[in-house]
Amino acid sequence: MTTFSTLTDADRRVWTALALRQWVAFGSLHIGFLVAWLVALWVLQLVAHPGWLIAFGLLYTVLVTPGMAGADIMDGTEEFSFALPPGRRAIFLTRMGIGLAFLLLTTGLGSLAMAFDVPQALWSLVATSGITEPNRPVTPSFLYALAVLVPAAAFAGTFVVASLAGTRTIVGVSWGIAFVAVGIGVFASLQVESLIWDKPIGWMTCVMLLLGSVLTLLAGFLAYDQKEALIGGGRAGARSGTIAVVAIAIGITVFALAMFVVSVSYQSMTVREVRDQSMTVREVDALRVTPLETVDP
Amino acid sequence: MLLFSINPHSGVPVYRQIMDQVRYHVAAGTLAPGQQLPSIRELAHTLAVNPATIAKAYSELEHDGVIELQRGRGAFIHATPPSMPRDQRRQRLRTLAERMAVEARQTGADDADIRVALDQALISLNRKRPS
Amino acid sequence: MNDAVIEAIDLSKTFRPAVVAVNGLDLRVPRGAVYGLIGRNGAGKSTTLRLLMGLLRPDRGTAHVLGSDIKDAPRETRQRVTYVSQEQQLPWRMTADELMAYFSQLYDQWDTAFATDLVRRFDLDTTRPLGTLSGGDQRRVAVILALAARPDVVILDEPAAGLDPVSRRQLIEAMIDFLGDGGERTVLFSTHILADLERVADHIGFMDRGRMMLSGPLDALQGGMRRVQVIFSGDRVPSGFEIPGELRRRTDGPVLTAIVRLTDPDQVNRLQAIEELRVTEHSLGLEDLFIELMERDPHSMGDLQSSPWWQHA
Repeated sequence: MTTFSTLTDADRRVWTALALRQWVAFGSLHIGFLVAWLVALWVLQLVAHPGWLIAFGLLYTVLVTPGMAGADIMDGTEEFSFALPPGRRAIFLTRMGIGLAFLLLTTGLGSLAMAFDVPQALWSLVATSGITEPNRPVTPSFLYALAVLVPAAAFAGTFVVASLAGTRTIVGVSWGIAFVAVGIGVFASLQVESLIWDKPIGWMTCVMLLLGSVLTLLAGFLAYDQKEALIGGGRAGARSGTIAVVAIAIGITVFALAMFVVSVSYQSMTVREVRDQSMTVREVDALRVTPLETVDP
Repeated sequence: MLLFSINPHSGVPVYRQIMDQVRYHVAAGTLAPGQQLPSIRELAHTLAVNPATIAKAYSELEHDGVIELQRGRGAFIHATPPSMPRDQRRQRLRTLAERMAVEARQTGADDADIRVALDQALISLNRKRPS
Repeated sequence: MNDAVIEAIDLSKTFRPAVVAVNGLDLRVPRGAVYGLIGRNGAGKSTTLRLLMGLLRPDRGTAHVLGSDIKDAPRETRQRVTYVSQEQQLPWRMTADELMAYFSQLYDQWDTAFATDLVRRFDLDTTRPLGTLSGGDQRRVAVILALAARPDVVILDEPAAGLDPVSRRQLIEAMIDFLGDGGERTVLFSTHILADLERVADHIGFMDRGRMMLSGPLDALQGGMRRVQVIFSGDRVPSGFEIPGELRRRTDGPVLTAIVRLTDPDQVNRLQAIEELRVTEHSLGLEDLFIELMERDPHSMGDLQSSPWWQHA
């Protein structure tokens, strides 16, 4: 592979053609997601909690990533694609680039926007929408980082599994496998944090997710380069039905658990705030009560 | 060009078949001195054989002096017919004659029959020649 | 001077659990050659071509195209090689037009005029999704793509399989036109239909059970073998009579038919000079030749290899 400094016009033309080809195949899906994101976050301001971004990212990973990464396996065109001049590495990088760019754009921008309440600020330039009240930043703040990193990690896992799959079944459940891995990783990491610092700090988890994503994609890239082309049409694989059902069940479970954790932490934070506030009220009450008692002869 | 018909499955190399046919047509007068042969590409396309085979045939024919290849213009029958050195010619004729004699004898022909057959072949060949 | 455009040395590949597809194969295709790789089904031809293209990993040995492992070669080198496989699928949602447009971006030497001409000659509908075309039409689209990219090397795996004779002839004509443009292009194709080979191939490699049994220029192979028939005047072939250089023989009463390897131009002539014998010789078509050879014990083909008539080019 030529380095960037030696890119010729021909190379640029080829990369453009590759990217265009991937876009033609998956462009409409991406645009659909982009529109949904724009509308939900910016127009309707329906989502105000970064947890929703995690859901958005995971949904993208389920619906788009297996099809994109595993396109050649599903169509049985690996023998054809691997023989073309760009080769495997270019195919992997192009698809990965599109997926990562899309995710980072949507979840990253969305996270920042929520943190600084940008949609509300923008709307207030025009008019007060009145749909939601000004959003207070959610604590703990590491949730904003998680909003970007959890989808990224899930994407990385799904992308690599789907790319390296040998059967259509594995492609179809690649997201389930990735979700299990990410779920376990996040829970375990939060537990470890609780043990070390008495409560989940979150930042260690974020670092772990970031490192995990990078390493997974790197390992996937190297493995894909060595992959033997799948000959003939993509096979369904043995016991495909059972595997699919089990993986989907696990995936949904993990997904639901993730949502649960997000909502619980949201609630627990709200309760804490209320508790904080009610302590302040009681203090005031105490202050109010005491003078009356002392005044009375 | 309908002059040539080759059989790729006969076991005789195609280039050899082409060479033999060119030589035959030159001897029979169907191909006149100075006449142009089809280009390698055209002939390969018409006969549906590898251009390299045609190229080899033409190259060998040029080497034998039967045709000449003019750069940029094509292949032409040589203006003057090739002549073998006398000894080589004699040797070649002798080999051909011996083979003919043996095979003819095996069919049961006698000397007279063989000579008649040879004369008739020569007459037929001369008749085809325009001059 | 090593002018081998395609070269495999001691190439081996075993599929799990224990299928030995290629077993110590040596292959050499010189520049400008049209090399026919022949053998029975299951001889390992497709696997060999896939190993050459880097689609599979060899267990042992090397497989080089244009001097290097094509899988890791830079794009400039890879776009000088095209490949059509027997079982490949083309992207079923794309149309042939779209795929050709894509190829025109990927290959520096793409020849649109040639592609258009071939589409017309093959009478293909290029506006329909490839998935809706028949298997034969898909194969022909793949061949057009491979040839119109004007590569230096074309590797075809059973390109004529499943095609009717008219389509096969069209394919050969397309290959010939591809070769005839003056560039020194090399073609390696595998087939088990020998008849088409004789028109285009100038080199042959015969594979059996994953090994190269014999290979070399086609002229040398055909020139070196004859079918000779000797008819004796008695009612039996005399025992102990042997034609010099005979490889296989069949006797039927006074008639002896043998495949003879020629090492000397007068070998047969000398026989013919013997008065009591009636001797005729015929050249062997490729199909006959290989039927004869395939009935031989493959292990004893070593003596054919050492004949002066094949030079490993």
